[in-house]
Amino acid sequence: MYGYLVRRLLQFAVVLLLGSVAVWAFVLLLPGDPATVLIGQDATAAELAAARARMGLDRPFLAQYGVWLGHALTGDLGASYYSGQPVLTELMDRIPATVQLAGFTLVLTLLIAVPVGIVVALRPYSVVGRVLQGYLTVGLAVPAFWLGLLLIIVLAVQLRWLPASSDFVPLWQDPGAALTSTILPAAAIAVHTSSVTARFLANSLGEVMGKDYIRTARAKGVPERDVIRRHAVRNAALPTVTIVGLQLGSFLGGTVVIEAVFNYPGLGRLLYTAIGERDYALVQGGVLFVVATFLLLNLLVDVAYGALDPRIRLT
Amino acid sequence: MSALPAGAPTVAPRRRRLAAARRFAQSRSAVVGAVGLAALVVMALLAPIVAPFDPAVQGGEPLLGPSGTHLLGTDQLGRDIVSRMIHGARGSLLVAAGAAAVGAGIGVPLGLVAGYLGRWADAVAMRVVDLLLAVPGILLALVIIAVLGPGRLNLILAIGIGAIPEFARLTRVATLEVRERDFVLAARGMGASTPDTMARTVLPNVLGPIMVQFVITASMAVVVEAGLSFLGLGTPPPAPSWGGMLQDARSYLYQSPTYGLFPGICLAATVFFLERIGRGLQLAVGGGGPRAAARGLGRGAV
Amino acid sequence: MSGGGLDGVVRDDIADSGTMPIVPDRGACQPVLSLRNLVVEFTTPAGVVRAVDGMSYDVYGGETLSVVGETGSGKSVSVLAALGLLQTANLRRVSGEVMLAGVDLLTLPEAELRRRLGRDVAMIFQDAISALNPVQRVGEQIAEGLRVHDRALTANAARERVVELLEMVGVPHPRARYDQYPHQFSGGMCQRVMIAMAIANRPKVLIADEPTTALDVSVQAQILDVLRLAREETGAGVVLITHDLGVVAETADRVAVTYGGRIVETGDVISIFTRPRHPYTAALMRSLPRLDSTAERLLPIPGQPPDLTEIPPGCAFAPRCPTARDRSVCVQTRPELRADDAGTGASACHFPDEAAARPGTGAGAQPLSSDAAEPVATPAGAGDAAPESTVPVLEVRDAVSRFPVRSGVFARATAWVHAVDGVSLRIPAGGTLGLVGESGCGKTTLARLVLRLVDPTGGQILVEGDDVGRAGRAGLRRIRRRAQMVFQDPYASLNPRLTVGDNVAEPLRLQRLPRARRREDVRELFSRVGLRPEHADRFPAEFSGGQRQRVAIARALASRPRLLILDEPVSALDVSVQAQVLNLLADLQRESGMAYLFVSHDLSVIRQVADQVAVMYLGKIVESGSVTRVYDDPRHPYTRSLLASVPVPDPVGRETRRRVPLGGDVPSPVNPPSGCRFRTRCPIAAARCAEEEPLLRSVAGGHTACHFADEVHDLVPQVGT
Repeated sequence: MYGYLVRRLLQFAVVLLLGSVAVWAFVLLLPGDPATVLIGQDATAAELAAARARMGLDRPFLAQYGVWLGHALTGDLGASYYSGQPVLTELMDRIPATVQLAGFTLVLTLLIAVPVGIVVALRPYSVVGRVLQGYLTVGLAVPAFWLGLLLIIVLAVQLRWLPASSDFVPLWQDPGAALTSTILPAAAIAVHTSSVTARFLANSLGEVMGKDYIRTARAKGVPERDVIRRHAVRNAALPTVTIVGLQLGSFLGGTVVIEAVFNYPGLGRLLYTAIGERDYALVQGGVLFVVATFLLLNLLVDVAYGALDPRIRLT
Repeated sequence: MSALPAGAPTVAPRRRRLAAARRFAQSRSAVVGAVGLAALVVMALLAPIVAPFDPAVQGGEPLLGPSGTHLLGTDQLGRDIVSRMIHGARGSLLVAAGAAAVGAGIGVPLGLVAGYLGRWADAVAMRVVDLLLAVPGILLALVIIAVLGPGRLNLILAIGIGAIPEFARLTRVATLEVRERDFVLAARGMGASTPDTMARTVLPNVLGPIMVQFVITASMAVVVEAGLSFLGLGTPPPAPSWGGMLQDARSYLYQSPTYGLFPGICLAATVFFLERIGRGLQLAVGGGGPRAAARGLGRGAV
Repeated sequence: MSGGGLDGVVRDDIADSGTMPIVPDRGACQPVLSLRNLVVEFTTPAGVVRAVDGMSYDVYGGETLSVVGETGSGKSVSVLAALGLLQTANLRRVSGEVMLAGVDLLTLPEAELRRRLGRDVAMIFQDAISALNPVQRVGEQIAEGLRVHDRALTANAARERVVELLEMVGVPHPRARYDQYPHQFSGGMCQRVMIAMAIANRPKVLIADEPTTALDVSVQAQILDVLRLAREETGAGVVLITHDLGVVAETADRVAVTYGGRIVETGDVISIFTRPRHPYTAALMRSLPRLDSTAERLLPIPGQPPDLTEIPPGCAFAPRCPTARDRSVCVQTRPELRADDAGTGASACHFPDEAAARPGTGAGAQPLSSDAAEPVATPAGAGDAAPESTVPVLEVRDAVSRFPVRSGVFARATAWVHAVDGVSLRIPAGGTLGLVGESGCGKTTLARLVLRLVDPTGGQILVEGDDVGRAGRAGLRRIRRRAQMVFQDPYASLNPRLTVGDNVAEPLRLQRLPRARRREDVRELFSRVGLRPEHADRFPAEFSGGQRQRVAIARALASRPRLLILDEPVSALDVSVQAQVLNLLADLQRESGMAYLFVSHDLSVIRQVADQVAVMYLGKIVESGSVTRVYDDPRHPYTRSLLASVPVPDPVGRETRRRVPLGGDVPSPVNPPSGCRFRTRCPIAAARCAEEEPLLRSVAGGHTACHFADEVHDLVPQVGT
């Protein structure tokens, strides 16, 4: 376990470093000069040179990267070209909304996926099983953002139950309002992600049910309900943890379109706007943040996986 | 001995490929998917003939509901929705196929080399894959389009690059498994070179799960393309696209609530057909274990 | 899988099966388990497979009934179906009667059936490592079996009982082992755990499905002892399902022989082996290579096992039967199982007396085959007066192969596996060297070193005088043409995406032969190995194991090699087919004068094929010499124990045979014991063995690496067979 932990940690560090290089280099690949973006097209050559010097763009690439990385490590991701605010402040503004949406979506996903996956795997031909398989088929096919649009059309436009835009209300301020403002985008995403997770869990469970040790448990006289609970689900849940971890990572910054549909002020929307405004300092900082968070989440999932699986824990 | 006489002792002589094709054809859902997709492709190819109106011609009355002349109504510029939907299929399908091809074209060799050579090649390739995986697909596509600029080819590249990790990981895992099989050792024992072994012995034996992944990636690409178009960064207007139409519908929710329905149905149908084909393929080629089909879908959420 | 067990399965219960009991009256004794007219069918793409076709047998308390048969004969499927443990989607029908304590198990609802499983009847499965739940502690898995049948049992009491059970089946340190996981156990230890689990509730019936097949011969002997102990401890009736006639002869009281989903013969173990009354039983015994003598030629059963999708109207064995020749009754009428006059056995043959009358059956010497006109060429061995004038086809000098064990942060090699550690061999043209040893001894690595499929760490390997280790790219390609390899598993060694013809043509393609030449060569190779050339465009999946191994051999022959490296070439094959392949190899060698390096764990097979033998243990050769020297006068305690561990397919006198199974498992090659590597398991080890490594030295006309090679006879009595 110790070796496994250290190796994963090292991989995490390597990929993060690689990511920082890529994020930093991305600005170099952009058409046009960042300084031009900052001070405008019709600045004089002298003004441009001054701006370049101020931004450190006249120094060698490696030095530029070193300075940038050094600042990034202390939390200084620069200032937004557009608003002049520190990038970190801009990000911090949006993080509560993103975390709340991700949390809601995760809870909904698991609440749906676990029972659906188990029933679909074990009773595929029962009435309930067939209905749930139908749900999986629809959930896999319907794009989340279109489902969001449909929800708005039905619930907000036709029935006028909920607002068409979701102004963010933090859970700790007003749980009721927070629920109504976040539930629609969360549901729109969760229909899809729960279908993916349930399908994966069902396949995994189906595979496990064919294993020799399931037959052994039956031959011992263990009732079927306990065979499933004690032997099958535990083994099938392990690989499913990885998938859920990947999904949770994609909720942070990957819900751009949903946020656009609901006018939800999340991280994805911030980055989308930043790209549109050529606010590259913000894009750099935001993407770095997303990558780092994703890698960290994945690391945690892998550590959890290692702790749950004795084959990894005890080696 | 496994409990089942699976195929034992001798299965009646039958061509392997034909048998795979037959298994595919026997799966009802796969046939539904294949027929549906074929219909979509034909519709896209024959769009100028099939569509009742020119999709770019404005001038009808804007935001009409469904009627006799305009089956599904008109958009905010008075263009025929049915015609725009039919023409929109072209972009969706082209981008889907292109992106899957880019993803497979880069991801498969990467995974093959990483899995077969191992050690440093593996470590380097997998760290790059880890990094690509760490950026949500849509965000990655947004950034790449910011670098490359808009346009259909760039769109294909942007979505395709996001699909590399799945192909690479899948190919690598399959290669790792096949590499240990005796027939690969036998090929080396006959004096086959490493490239020859990889191309002729390993690759054909990992193609099954890759085919499944190709179809699943295409379905993912359809959704991402629509999402990008919805954001205004996909297929550039005035060319019709399903995502772009949904964006228009979002803007005129109250005036024309039905507008948003139909492009979405097209999207869902396309994804549905592709997903069915993927399932059918998986039954037919039996590759990659039952979990493979679901694995690739992990990042389809937008 | 639906919980309903056999949902959707046609049950046509035959209330009165009308079939006779196979075993005659045993006084008042009731069988503990009776199968009556059991039929099991599966739906497959090729049609309905009737895997079990009306099987009936009884097991009595305290006896061991051995159900013996080849792959696909229905022996395992029958018990799994009987206990409701077959839960595959393509199961079509299970019918008949399975009587346990007066109740027909097939009619019970699932919950009722489960209450009896593990309590009245328990199973021991073949692959014990995968039969245990990888994420549950081993002790808890056994305790679970106790507590589901006795809800009043406290956790602590269960734990105490499990520790007792583990102790009984010979798991050392049971208290500590209780909390470990299956991956921390060896295969043999996992099988002991399975046995402990099975006897936990003192069942009336113990069913062991190939319990020793995945294990090494020395561990197999241990497990068979534990099984015997388990039977004595519980008084249960044991059903031992196996394909190994040696295991049958060592352990069974009665035997049921299965073929094509039916029982073709039953009887007590002595009669079955000495006076078989079914031609299949007799032919099976004839086809077996033996440990105590070498046949000039094995007598295989011709043809292939039956296709269960098309049950013929007559006897399923008729197409392969020597007795059935030209007799219409065998093809037209299915023979029913009929008790013999003495009333001790039954045979499903129209002519049971002729089957018994075939010569050479039973325990006697192997018959001489009429077609084995000349003996296999046996050139002088490398150890004795080898003609020094010719270069040996293979010469291995001090070969070493080490693998790093990578661990820690940077995957640095922190330890080395000494897979092959200083091995020397010579094989002259036309000679066969048998390399024998248990799993993990390094024999496969050594075989792969010869073709440099594994890079050597040290030493020298010469193929016809050319150094394999130093050869450049082109040189290596030339060597790999002259030395070819045949692998163990014919299902894995052929590229499934190429036709068998293309598989065979691969070496020719790599030599850049034109397509037409290739096709011609393939046709010729096919007929040489006894395959029909017109089948060349089929895929490997369409062939049976024996046929695939012929394809693999044809592929190896394509480049006209001087040396064939045969890595367990018949281990995956059934006995009857195994003999076909061994005979083919003997014929090919006689025709072409190729040299063979024949690697196997099976001592009987090696005795049959080799003229020189080398015994490997933990990367070193501990004994070598001619076949007669090694088998008849073994001087190394390891060789002696191995030979003593092999179950002999002859039940006569088994009580008086002294068996000294080796204790424990093979130690890890990462940290081999100091001095003599065998000393940790050696019955005669002394202090000197830990300090001084015994070198391979000339002893009694062979070579032995033991300090006590000269006096070994006095230290361990020779085990007679």
